[in-house]
Amino acid sequence: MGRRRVMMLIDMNSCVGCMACVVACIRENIARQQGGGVEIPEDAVYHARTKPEYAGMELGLTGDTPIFIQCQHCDNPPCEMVCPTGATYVDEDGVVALDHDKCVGCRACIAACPYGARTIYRRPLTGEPLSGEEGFQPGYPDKCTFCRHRKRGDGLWTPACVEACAFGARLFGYEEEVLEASEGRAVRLLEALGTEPKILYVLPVKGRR
Amino acid sequence: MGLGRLATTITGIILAFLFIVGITLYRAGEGGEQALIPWGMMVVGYVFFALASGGVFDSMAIRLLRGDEETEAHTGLLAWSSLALLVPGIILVLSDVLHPTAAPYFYLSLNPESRIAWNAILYLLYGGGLLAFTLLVHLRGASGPLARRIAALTLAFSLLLEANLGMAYAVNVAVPAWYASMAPILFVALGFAIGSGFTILTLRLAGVTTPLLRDYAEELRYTLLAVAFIAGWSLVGMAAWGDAKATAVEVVAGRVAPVFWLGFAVTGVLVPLVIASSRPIAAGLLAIIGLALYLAVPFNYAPQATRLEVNPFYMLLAHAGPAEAGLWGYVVSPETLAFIGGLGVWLLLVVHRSRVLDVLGLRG
Repeated sequence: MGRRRVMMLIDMNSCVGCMACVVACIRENIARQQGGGVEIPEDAVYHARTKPEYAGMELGLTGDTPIFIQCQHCDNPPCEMVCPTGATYVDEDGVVALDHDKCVGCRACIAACPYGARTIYRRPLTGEPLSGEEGFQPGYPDKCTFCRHRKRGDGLWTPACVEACAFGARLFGYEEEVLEASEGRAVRLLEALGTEPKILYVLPVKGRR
Repeated sequence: MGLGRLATTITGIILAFLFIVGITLYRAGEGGEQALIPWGMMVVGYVFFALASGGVFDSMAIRLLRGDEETEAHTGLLAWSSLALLVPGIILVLSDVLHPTAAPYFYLSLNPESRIAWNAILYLLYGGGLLAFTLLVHLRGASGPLARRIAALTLAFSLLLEANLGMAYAVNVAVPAWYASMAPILFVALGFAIGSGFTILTLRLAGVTTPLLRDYAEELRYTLLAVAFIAGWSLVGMAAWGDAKATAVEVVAGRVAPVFWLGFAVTGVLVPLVIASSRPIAAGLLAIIGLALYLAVPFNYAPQATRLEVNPFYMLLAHAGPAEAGLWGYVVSPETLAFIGGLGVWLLLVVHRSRVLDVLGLRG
């Protein structure tokens, strides 16, 4: 029997746009320890691994809820296919991950991602990532890791964004649990491309507020 | 040293200086965020020099294999020019990647699904073949069967590299105008056309005025027609296919239209087609400039920029992020200095070939 794969469900009807998930992501993955203080990159929200975008509301794409741009942890990830050195790979839990040692910085993964999930920061940072090797590193294509550095042993873990959401808008779990919780209401983004994302969205009901 | 040679040398030194300055500034992080337009002018530069090198070699090798005696007499010069074009190309590849110390993983941890991984293999095979051929020709001449066998093998690697460079673009599902496009065959045609231009300039720099120059001028005309046909056909295809239509509109009538019409269609194709017979050197030079502009802007920039308008995620990302360079910032950048400066490396190596050969002890 193969490993159980993880998935995430984002219910946009439960999201109030409080940005706790974004702050938690920045604290967990983007901020860096520098002596007794904390260093964050310029445009920290842009570099957050789950970043809110309100233009979707203005354009009528996402109702009255911000959409969160982040890695969809595709089962068939275009970024993995184009990576020349295997630096981008899918781990045993189905998380799309990056081995920084193998990354040559060709940026093919950034070009290949249809979800715009990867950013890159080219200015220097001196501190140490709070989340260790999985943390934000200048000069590398950065993206969500489902906080897999929190994993202990073989069990399931809780990503920082899920932990921080007071409204239960984010659910993280094994595939069968998340699919059951979605009650058939969820969609995958850009499904026609065949990327098979592991993040499901329950789309907002129009005019709910 | 004659006045012309002195002027060429000074031009080469200035350009080579720009090459170093451009690379240094880019490595220092002056290249922007690179999330919205991840492939900039450095990528265009190494693609251009690989196509140019391959193009010079392809035509020369095909003529040599067909037994063309005049080509055989200039094989050393043309192989050297091809090698001199590959040098800035490889330097640009290693300068463009942000972590060149991880380059051994291209070979130690190769992902066979990745076209860029195959580029790394093909650069090695083509570069190795070209180096071996150049050394052999300079030491023993081009007439033996060994030289022809190496020429045939290297020709195959060269054509594969040109097509594979195009495939690295064409596999990008996130960039509609590149995805499943004719970039591989376009790149082979571009290789022959740019290569013809550089061959004409190489022969001219070496003072060769034989009918070979006219042959290459004729080849330039045929290959430019091929490039124009494929580029035009690609635009028609884009205009008829979903999100790629935005790129076709951008190229034909948008912000980059002046580069397409004046830079590519007129300067790079029409004028060289008309004057190739009477003024082959001017035709070669204009074709090189026009095709470089085509690669840089309508082919490389426009598809990346227009996806920001058609892909909702990139639309949102562009809205959320720090201001990233538009067309002006893309063109006026250290990367462009590095690209243009690469020509200086080629120029110096070609003009001072005899001296370099003496230093290397390669006088056959």
